[in-house]
Amino acid sequence: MVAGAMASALACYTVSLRVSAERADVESIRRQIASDLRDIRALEAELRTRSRLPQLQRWNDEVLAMVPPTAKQFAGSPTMLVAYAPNQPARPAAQEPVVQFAVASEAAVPMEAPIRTVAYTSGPRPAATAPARPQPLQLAAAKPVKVTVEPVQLAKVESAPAPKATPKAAPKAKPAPKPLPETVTAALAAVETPAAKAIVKSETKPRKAAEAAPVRLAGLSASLIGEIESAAAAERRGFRKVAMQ
Amino acid sequence: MSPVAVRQMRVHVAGQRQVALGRSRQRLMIGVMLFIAIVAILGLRLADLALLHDGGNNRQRNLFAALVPPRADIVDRNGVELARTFDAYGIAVRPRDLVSDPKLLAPRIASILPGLTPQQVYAQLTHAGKFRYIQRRVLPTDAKRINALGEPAIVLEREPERLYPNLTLAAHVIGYTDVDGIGRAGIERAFEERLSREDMRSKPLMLSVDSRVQQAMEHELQVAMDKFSAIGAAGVVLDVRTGEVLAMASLPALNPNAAGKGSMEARFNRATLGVYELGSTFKAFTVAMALDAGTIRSVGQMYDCTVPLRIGRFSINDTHPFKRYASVVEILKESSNIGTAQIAQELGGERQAEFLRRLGFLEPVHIELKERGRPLYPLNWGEIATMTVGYGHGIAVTPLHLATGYAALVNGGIWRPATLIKLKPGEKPAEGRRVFSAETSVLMRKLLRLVVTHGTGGKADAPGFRVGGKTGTAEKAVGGGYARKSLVTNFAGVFPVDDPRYVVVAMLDEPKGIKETYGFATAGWNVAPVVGKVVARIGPVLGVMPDETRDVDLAPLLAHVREEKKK
Repeated sequence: MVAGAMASALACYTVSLRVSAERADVESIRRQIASDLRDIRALEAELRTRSRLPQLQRWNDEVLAMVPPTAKQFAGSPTMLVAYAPNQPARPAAQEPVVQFAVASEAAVPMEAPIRTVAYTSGPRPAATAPARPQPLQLAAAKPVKVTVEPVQLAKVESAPAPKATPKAAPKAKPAPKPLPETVTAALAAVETPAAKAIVKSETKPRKAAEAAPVRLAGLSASLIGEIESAAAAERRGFRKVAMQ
Repeated sequence: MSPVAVRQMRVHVAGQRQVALGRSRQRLMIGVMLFIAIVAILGLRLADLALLHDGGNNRQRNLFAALVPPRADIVDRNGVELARTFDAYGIAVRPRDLVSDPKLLAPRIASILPGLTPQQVYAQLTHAGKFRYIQRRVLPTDAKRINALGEPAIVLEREPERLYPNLTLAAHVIGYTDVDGIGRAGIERAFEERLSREDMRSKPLMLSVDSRVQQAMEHELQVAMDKFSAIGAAGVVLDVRTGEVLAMASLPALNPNAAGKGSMEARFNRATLGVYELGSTFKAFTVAMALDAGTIRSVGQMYDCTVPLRIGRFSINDTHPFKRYASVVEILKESSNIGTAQIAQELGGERQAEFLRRLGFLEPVHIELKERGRPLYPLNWGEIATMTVGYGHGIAVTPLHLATGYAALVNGGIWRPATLIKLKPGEKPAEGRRVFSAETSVLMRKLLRLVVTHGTGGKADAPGFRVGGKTGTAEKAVGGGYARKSLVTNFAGVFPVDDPRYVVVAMLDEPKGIKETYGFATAGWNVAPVVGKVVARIGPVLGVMPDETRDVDLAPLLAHVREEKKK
């Protein structure tokens, strides 16, 4: 009887001891959280002060010397983007390099996807052909202050014009859809340029996707243009979302 | 004492003993009751503390309540902090408790705190008072070093301080607080209650200002101000659809962290408090009014600009006289005073005043700030006043007035009050009132674009952004006359003209001509480039896509412009 009472008393005491120990732990964690939150606020204040915009401006004026992007640095349409290709279809079709277009994922991606981006890789080029100098595409946010801006905004094109011979002519011409050349040399050497980095910036795994699903295309079919356009629309939506925040 | 003696004494004091016994019992009772009462009070208090005041909860609440700032933060439209409250150190001393020699201590403290001389510190250490501040707002590292001196009379106070991390950025919008944390200017003053109310403090106040746009505006204005040796500058970026102010700058710059050290000139908000005769930027309003009232039936309507206009003893001149008849398009393009005066004359003073009243130009500008200037306008709105107001003289308004006016001019004709508070997603902008018809507004966009592509505002163009706008140069009124050399130049721009989103107004106070501008100090040379540069910088940030292949069709307007002979 006595032993039973002692045992139960001991058990009860142990339980209550553990409860109170647990409570003390919780309390100390809460205190820790509160103090961490205070530290976060203090550190935030310091960070904000150190990265103040007038300071960034001064660094830019003295060292970085970045300027706002000009209108020419914005790709107005997917076709225009394609037209930045270094190799132009002036050469005979037989020598055409094989163009590899790697699409981030197959066409099954629903339209609701906030951002869907296409990664382009250039195919193996014949070493003999000297590629036309690519347009320097400084699409990355040029000012340090513009960090939240999505650099590329792809505008909608009414019709899908065929890629023209010169990059400059492409955006300006808005002809009725012409018969597309069988093979288009619109390979984008973009992966090496900052432009591509900017383009694929929002994408999670651009390179991996490019390796995983390389779609070998002999030319730009109308469906591909449509594909790019829908990607552009998705991109634009994502951009608006960013812009509205 | 022997028992016998005691017995004898007892007998002796029998009567007294009875009395004493009774009294001591009484005292004992009082004592016992006091004890019981004290114990009861303690018990009740204990029960009260244990049952009614839940100690643990209370402590936890205090733990997190301390995190709620004593004053709400202020953030920009993207959540970037513009003002926050922060626990700073204050170094104080209790001179009476001093143990070490103040003569030795003073130089040691002064060596840690920059900006204080040993004499100043010594004066505080030896002050007759009980408690003296040596310095407030001390860096944490300095505070630690002072603490390490080990003087018990030195007190490290943690006191809430208002910190403006971006220093001069948007200083005139945010304003500043005094040493007690009460708002003394700007948003801090206008929203004093919202910022300090207990239930609102944890949520930051979100402004409509975009710090990136603000930075672009302030920087470009500062560059122009230095370049042209101007005494001041102001700038506004306004969303034409909602009236939200995205940037509002006033220079010379003010550091709100030390507002008291700023000059009067720096504390003055030129964008909302300063009223200026803005000159030719008003011509766009005059033309729009006349189009709306029907006194201009076509933009090809011709006005006599052969000779300077003489009204009574006044004479209205042009800087580049046409010396011929000129169409409305030409008058606006070349900014002709003579032509605009005639357009205003036809319109009449009454209608002009009514239009200006509906544009809000005859009352302090509508904005949340308390620093608002009262516009100056003619009391006796006669014919001469009508004509001068037509080209922006004889009426003085703030740059923000001009921005809201241009917003109404291009957004379809609806005037809306400006606001510094960001609209919540889905929230409707403040109710506006119609000033101009939609057709007038569409035509005005084209006219403004023409001024930039073919007229005086050429340097405001940012390629691809379709900037439209109007220059304005006014002589400053000094003592009843006009000072020919001190000018106020301004430019009101709008972009993109095909679907206006933002109005950009920039103003320079007393710019001087330089070699690069061939000695000219007019708006087209000094302030128009500011707007061009600002638009090129903020356009991509605000999601306006530059496109050199798009523009409004100016051909119908250019039909009314006569080709001038090339010099």
